[in-house]
Amino acid sequence: MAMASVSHWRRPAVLEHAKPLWLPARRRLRLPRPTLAIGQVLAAPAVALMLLLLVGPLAVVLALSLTDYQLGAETLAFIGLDNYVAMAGDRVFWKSLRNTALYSLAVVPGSVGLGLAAALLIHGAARGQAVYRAVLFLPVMATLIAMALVWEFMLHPGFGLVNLSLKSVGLAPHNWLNDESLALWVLAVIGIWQGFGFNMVLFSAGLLGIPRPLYEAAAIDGVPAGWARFSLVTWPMLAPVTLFVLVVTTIKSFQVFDTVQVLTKGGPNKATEVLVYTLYAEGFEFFRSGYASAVTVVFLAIVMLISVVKTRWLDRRVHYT
Amino acid sequence: MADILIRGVSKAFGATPVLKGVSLGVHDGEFISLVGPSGCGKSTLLRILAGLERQDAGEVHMAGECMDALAPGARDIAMVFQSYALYPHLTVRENIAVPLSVRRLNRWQRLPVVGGIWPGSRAIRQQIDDEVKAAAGQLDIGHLLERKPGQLSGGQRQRTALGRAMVRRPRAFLMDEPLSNLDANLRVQMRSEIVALHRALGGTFVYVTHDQTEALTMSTRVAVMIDGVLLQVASPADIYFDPSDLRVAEFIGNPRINLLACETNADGQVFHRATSLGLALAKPAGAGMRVTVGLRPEAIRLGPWDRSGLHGVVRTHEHLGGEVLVQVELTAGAGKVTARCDALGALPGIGSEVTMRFEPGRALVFDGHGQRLALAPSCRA
Repeated sequence: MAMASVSHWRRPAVLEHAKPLWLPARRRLRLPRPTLAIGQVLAAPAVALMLLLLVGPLAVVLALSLTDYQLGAETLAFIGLDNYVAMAGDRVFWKSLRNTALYSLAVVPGSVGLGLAAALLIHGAARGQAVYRAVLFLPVMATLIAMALVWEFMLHPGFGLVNLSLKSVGLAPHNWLNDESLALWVLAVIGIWQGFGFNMVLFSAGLLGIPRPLYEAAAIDGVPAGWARFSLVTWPMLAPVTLFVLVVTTIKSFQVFDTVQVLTKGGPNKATEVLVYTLYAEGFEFFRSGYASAVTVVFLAIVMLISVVKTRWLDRRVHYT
Repeated sequence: MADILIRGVSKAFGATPVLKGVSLGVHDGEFISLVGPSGCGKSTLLRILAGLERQDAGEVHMAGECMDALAPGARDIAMVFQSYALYPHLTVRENIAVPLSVRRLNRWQRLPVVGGIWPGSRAIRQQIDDEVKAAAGQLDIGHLLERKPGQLSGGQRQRTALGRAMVRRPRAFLMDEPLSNLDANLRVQMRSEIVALHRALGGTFVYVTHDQTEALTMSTRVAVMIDGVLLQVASPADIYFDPSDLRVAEFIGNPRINLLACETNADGQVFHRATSLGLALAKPAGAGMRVTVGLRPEAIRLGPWDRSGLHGVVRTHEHLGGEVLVQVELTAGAGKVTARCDALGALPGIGSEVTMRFEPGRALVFDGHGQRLALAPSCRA
């Protein structure tokens, strides 16, 4: 009888070799061969897709950037880093990099700040939250190319709504898109208009996720409503969302293309030449695919740098555990 | 200090009434528990006391002063939340310091860099830091001051929340189920620590819980609330042994009180299915009145079969260590009764027929509306 009860408590044979899967990363995970093989088979489709759609094209671009390939050409030659050397001496490239950076410096704070402000206002609204949210989100859903055409009409130096309005209140009209000192900032305003609704939705979700007892604790602790409570509770609790919004907005602002293509084509006098427009022009107007690939590589490097900064540095400062 | 007076407070959320004219007086330095099943309105009452919720009718006074127009921060109360509500980006030290810095430092002195060099701020900061350390020392979290809440265990977070509440020496402490997120062992430990804290601080504690054990073990008085009505406010012993309402008797006590459906005769004698229970009402109210007789499990003694008294068959034994819960099925299919017996005493075997006896003074009789009825003097213990 006693023997029987002992054998009853032994672990079933099947479980004996089933090691937990959450071993510390450093230790080697020794799975029995059949399990390992099944795992590999199951992961294979995803790995194949990633190679085909992500790693493959990247490798091709990287390889092309080391050649003198021209779109449609039948031959190509390996020219080492010549494309990059040429880029370093290319006035247009530097102008384009500088413009992109300036554009980002305007659009990122603009659309993040406006998105947060809109989210806070809507969050505090007694009613009609859904309506406000939908209205402010409209520019995000609209096709930017179509919207750029609307902006073109509005900004028309002769009969545009903007200039007519300015004139009606006695202010001087401007040739918005053909003024070298204005054009980039006009595009930035359109970029902010188009992007802040998206940030607003993210911030709204973040605001809903802040536990109410925190505000109640602040009220009982005597923290005055308004700025003090915002800086004690709302802002720190929104930090993870803010980080995400910042990274996404920065990357998106680096990708600005539609408005430039429709409204200015990089002009006047390269005043709105931006990275993606440069690589488009080099690749598909001048057919210098090798050089365009090199610009692309630089572009990707910048975007990747932003992501690395996010994961390596900022993540640790905004998640409080 | 803080005599708290709640007068006729009502509150409805939409069409759902949550509090129905609640009145309650809390003495200075008292530890009072608001206990009731979930959704009974006890948390809402606490939040009205704190000023986090506005009542629809009624008044709240503290120390003779009407609180209704005051913001939570101006009421000089502290609250401990079930979720602790610690600021996750601040260290334990900073969390505990918040109520003090908000009150003692002005807007400029609170700023991170400017505040350090602003006139007078250094001395105040030093003072605050000393008080934070003292509070943390009292709660045994002095070594955790630089940690953030995310790096603390549940119990440590609870202590930090307590520290933030007591550092300001408020006149009243409001606690909303502060122990429900802790595991069972820690809960027992924190229970006695909160009681010790109450003794050391001498403040008025209002403690909301759904756990009757917490209410009975910690408080000087217990207020039982069911469906938005305060049914009884009394000492833990009175709540248990002398409940004024059937719902109180049913809610308090584990295992639950045994209830027998009975009738009275013209003399006020109480019968259960024609068996006399040896009880008589002080004021007979006619023959055939339906009453409910409540018997706590430990009030019942089981003996060998006997002609007189209530009979039953033992169905199960439930061993709890020092005692055994014996479930007896009444003969004539009149329900089941649980008796609490000493594990070392003689236990009737399962299946055996037994007779139940009890001291008449320990029987609780309620009328059809659940109101307690007094027993005749001959029945009182």
